[in-house]
Amino acid sequence: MNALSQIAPRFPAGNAVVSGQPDLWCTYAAIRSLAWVDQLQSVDRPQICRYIESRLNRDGGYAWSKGMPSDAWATFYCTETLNDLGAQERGTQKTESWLDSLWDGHAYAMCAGQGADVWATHYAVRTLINVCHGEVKEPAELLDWLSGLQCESGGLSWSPAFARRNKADVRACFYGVMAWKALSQQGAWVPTWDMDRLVQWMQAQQLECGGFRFSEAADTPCLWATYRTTATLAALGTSPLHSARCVAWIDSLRGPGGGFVRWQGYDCEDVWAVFCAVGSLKALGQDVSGLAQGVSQFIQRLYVDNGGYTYREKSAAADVLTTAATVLGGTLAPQDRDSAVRWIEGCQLPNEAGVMYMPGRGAEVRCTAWALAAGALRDAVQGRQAVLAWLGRIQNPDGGFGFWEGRGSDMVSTASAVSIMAMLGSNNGVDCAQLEHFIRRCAITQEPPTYGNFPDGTPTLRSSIQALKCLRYLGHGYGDAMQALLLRHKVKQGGFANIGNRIPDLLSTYEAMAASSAFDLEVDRAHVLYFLEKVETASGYAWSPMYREGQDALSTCLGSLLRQWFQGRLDVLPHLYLS
Amino acid sequence: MINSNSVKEDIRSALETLLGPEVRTIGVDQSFRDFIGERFDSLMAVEVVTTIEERFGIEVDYVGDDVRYWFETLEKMEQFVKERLEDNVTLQAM
Repeated sequence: MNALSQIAPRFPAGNAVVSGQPDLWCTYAAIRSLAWVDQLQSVDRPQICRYIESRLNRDGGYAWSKGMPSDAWATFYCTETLNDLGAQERGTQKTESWLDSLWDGHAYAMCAGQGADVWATHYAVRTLINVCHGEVKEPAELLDWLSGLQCESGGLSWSPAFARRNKADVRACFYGVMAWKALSQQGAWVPTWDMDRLVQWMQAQQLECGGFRFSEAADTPCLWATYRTTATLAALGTSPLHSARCVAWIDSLRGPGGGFVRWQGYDCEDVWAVFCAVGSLKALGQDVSGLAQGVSQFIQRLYVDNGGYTYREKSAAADVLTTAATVLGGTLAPQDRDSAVRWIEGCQLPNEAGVMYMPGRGAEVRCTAWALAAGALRDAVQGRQAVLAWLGRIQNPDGGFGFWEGRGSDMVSTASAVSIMAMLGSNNGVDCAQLEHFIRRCAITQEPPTYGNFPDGTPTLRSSIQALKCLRYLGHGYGDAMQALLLRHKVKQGGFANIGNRIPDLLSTYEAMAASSAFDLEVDRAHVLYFLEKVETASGYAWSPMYREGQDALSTCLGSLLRQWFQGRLDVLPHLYLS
Repeated sequence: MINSNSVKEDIRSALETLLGPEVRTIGVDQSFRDFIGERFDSLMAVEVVTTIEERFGIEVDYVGDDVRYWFETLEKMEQFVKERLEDNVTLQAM
């Protein structure tokens, strides 16, 4: 038994903060579930299409949030949702060209310049072939890469490098097999996997209760693992060893609200559990028409008026980033703050000891850093140890950290991981030499030293700050380099710009000040305070002086922290990273 | 004195290259944000500002100038550009 099994699957106790915004993943899961039970006639198609299309960037890809860079995952969810809604897919030629830019020579990455992983490869290949009706340009290379995913155990892993460590996961099996199935539409490409051993390994993840676990490292079965396994087995023309037991287990997770819960004993029906339950039952050859009314009614309650869905009834759909930001902003009464921190702590759920952005989703590195900064797990020795063990387990073979388990490394997640280690006061289990190796690979220029979010990324102020702060944690100086970097991105009128020195934003300005504080550099107070005045609004702080309507709990948190720091009410600015 | 018609025409001409020929049909007091629709995002707003800066040799202060206000319509852009050009003339005369 490991430390993770101590975490009971219960919806977090305490009071959290609700952003009131729809979520892309939830919207995809809601629409796909409704399509599976043939209930799409009940949705507001034009409004949902507008919400999805607002994520389309001019490069042809889609982003998780408006204004963010395109990535393969968001692009898959958006294009699939538009397809489900029967919306005319516009500009697929541009999307196809953008997807080509994700090719790293072997497989596909989430963003251009990042290393490939099986999540991204699956999303990119399926979008490229099924939505854009394009082709993988180097199918033989991709096939080699996919073939390399098989572990000694028989299961598939996140990348060939992870496979050499024998870390299989049923999610990686799903993404690898589905990427291959999409590729096989363009030719008779078959990976060199030992199919019998692959099937046997997946079947072996079924537990006595009938549900599946992610891998031998996880001891709590869940619907997410069950869907990925049953769908993969079906795609390979086979099924679980105990299908009837699996169906009965899924039925036992049905809640009174018409939805499902992810784990046995969990007390919150959510959209991902509905998606996984319905998908699993279909993969198991079950008739899901009997679920239609209940699922449709449940999903209707998750609809957010401006066009998308969230994970549970919208009035209670809180998330960790919004809650942590509100706690850090310092406006809550002590009792409310304690309650919010308790809720955040409850987002540490079975199998993945990091903190989930939304309970029931997957543990994220960046969210975990925000949670700890807000005071979560401060006195929970076991919980802190579990976070550190999780961090050591998900470190990528290239030394960096990705958004979550199995995702390609990026600087934001890597800096967040370093921030977690600093807050936990330990880096046991993390390979610091490899960590440094990844950070140095993200150097874009040596003189002056600039860094990108990925090894082949674009140099920016924030990525460079994050890299220099990581190197400082690892025992290197770089005070002069940080000072010179800040000077290059200082906007003469006020604030700091992520690219160049013309257009300042609050996030870059916050990171610049946190870095100044950490490196003990002199600060031009009047310069930053002038900028802060320009983004201050009646109810908080905006991200940019150009768009003062653009504010949320996170921008208000960063503005408030800066204000408190300048007023001497805060000694240190927390190391908070977003993008 | 800055020629008003010339400034207005130069703005249209510069923006036509960036946004396409439909810029010719936009009314002087019509909002660019509404006219361009979904395509008008913050990136495009920055491109509009940069285009005007380059065409007239002026510099916009992204912190102090209310960019969202001054670059909302052709009429406001024209007023902004004219004031900046007059400032430049004054500064050069000193």
